[in-house]
Amino acid sequence: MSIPIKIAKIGWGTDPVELVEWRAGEGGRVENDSVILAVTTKKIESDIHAEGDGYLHIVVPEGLKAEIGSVVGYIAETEEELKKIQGENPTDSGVTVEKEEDSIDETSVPEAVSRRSRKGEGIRISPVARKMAEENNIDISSITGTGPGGRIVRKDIENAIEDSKKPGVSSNMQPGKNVKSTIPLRGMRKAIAENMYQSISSSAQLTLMGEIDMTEVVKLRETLKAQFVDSITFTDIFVFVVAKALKEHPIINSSLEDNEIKIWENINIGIATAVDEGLIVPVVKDADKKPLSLISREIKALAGKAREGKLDFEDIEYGTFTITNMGALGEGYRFETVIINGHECAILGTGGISDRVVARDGEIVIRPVMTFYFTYDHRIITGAVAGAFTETVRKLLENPYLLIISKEDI
Amino acid sequence: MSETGVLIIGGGPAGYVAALRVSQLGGRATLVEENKLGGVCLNCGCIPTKFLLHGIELYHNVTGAEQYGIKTGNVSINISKLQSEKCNVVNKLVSGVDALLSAGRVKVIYGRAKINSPDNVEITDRSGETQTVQPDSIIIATGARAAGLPIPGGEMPDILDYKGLLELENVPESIIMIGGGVIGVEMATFLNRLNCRVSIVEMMPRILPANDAETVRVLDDAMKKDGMDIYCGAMVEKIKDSGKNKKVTFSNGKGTTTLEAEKVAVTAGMKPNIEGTGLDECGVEVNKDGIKVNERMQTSVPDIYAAGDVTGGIMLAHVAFAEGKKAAENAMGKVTFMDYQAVPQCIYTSPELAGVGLTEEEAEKHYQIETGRFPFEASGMAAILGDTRGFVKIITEKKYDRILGVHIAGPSASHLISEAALAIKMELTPQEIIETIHSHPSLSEALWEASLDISGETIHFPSSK
Repeated sequence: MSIPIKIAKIGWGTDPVELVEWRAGEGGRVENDSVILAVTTKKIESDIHAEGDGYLHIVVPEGLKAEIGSVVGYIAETEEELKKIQGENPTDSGVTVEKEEDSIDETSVPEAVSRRSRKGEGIRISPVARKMAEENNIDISSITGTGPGGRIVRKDIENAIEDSKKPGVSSNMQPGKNVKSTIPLRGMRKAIAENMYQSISSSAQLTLMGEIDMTEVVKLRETLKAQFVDSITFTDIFVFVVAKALKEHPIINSSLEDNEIKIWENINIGIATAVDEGLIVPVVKDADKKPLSLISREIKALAGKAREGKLDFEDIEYGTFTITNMGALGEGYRFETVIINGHECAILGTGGISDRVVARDGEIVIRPVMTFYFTYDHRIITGAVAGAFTETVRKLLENPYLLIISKEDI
Repeated sequence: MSETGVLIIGGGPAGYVAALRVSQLGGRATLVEENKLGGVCLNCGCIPTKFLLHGIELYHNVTGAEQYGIKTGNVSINISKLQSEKCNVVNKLVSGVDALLSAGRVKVIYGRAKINSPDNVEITDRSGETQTVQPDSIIIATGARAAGLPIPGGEMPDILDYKGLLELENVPESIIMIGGGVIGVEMATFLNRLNCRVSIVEMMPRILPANDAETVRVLDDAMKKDGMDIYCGAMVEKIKDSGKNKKVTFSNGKGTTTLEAEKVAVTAGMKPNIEGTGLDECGVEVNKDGIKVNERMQTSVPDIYAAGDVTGGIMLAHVAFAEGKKAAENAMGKVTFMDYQAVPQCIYTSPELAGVGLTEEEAEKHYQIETGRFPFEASGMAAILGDTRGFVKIITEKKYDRILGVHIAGPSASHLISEAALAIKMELTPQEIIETIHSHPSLSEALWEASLDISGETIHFPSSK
């Protein structure tokens, strides 16, 4: 008997997943419960474990996409079994695999399914160009069409094939600019690249910058730290404060979707978190309804999962606003034009806290000052609204006693 | 923008389309025409030939109408009436071009233009008056004309060229066509149906050497069956008068042959009309076929463009239309390129031939190919029309299923080819044609069936595979 390796549903996503890495080669020996395949969706990486001992047969190679529920490989119990399966299910050469019919015992993937899903559905491309791209493993989403109306035509694919043949040679040959090594754009790296470009190219982003006197927040944190075993971080406080401010300025907690601005009921705050492979944004759900201590605990748990690469799809979905705290980069008076995450309409960046000379009541004094930078989508938010929101955040941070009462109470 | 704007020299298909396009793009266009608007196409090419061929086909259909139970009695054809009606249609279309140009606010000057420099052109009008204009750019669309035959006797004034053939008032008893190209076979078809004894003498190993050999074979057989004599691989050596007849002597591998006929027509060879236009003086590069142009129809001199037959290449009116349009767009500052991969070519013979893309011979040289065929003898519509000669052939690149060419010999081939041209231009594979429902009964089903034949899945004919 052989065991099919199927792509399980990850979180709520139904998009095809990308096969990042097979941990064993074709015909390699795998053990029950060992990780045999790493997959990724746009947002999340996940591992697939072997459901038995045996020899691996790969149907869909690395770098290709596969539908949820499809069979991407088999574990054969014996070497004879392996040979049989290899004959029956050749390794895919480049097209996404067909959805497997319901029966698991039916080991053969249907040869031709009339309505099979094809890569890049919706991209304007000629049938011949599509076929050429498929046969040559060219990613059509990365090609700019030169045909009528931007349609991708044969010539574009021919050029892409030409280009793909020579990267090593030609770029190494560039005088004075030699390639030392290359990093493949895939997995999280690819997701970040795509998401950031998608964000900046599909909205009107601009950044408002300023500084906040952190005297009281620093004091508050010290006081809380003395009381709790789990120390409350600045990030925890920012999430708590921003949730209140968002409640006061609901338009900042919105998205422009399907030609209308949707103001979200939930205030779900994402926290940009650096991990080894790049960056991930776990989300604290309904932050406005949670006490600071709970927010703090949740953030710690999420950060831990993020570092271990164990975030679930649920942990990173449904954000409505994002905070990116650069304080960890150390002191220093810095500003940055952060990029909005996903389909949200704003992001708040906070810088390091450093002692600065400021004027207070006509006196020169030294205060701990934090920079902030608020990038917002000008399609939704005007400068005045952005100013009002950041002013609320500033006021709450400079005078955290205001947090005791909510505005609605007055 | 100067007062002249873009100066277009020549009012044929390339020229008048260029002028209208300039105007559409908001430019000012001035067009200089030496003779009549419409060029060869309208005055002595496509339009008059097709009128005569249509007339003769109608005659042929009427005489053959008994097949449908129609009793026709004594039918005759009056050639001078056919000719004068042809002139009416031509004149109507020429004045149509004139109306289009004036609606497009194109200034038309009848005369000759000489280019002194890209921004200095001398125009001498019909009254002999000369003016100098300063155009923003120039489009040369002066066309081409019959080259004649550089052999003893080739200069005789009563040897007909394509113009003379179109103006025949009387049907000669016999004729020798030197040149089995498009004009040769079309005029041969016309005269043959008027009971003129036609001989075609072609230098290349077959008539229509540039067309797909398999489709040409259908026509070659049909023409011979209709009583025409075809001599291929024949080098004409001399033409001599012989009483009121003429004698044409040619040699082939086997020896020398002399034919005698009442008329001789030379239907081979064209040369560009570039004399007196001042191209040498301003440095426009010319090769033996015509003015050299790039994909944007630019000559070697910036701001001077050329389009149509004067550039050599494919001498077809619809190619000239496309080239004139591209030249105008580039002259108006756009960047557009000519694409020749889907140029349909039609020959209005009996049966008609039409092709687009590469011939099977050309395709084989560059690609691994597959072919699909469907004969009209299996087409219901062809049976209804009473003409089941010929077939549709589709040629694809095996690796990517790209359609490289489609060639048709058969009824309404000239109409059927448009679908294939669109398919090639849009880079479709036979699969898209197969998945498109074709109406029944219609001749268009033949392309659908030929597409199916590639994989051996024809419906109305057992596949050859």
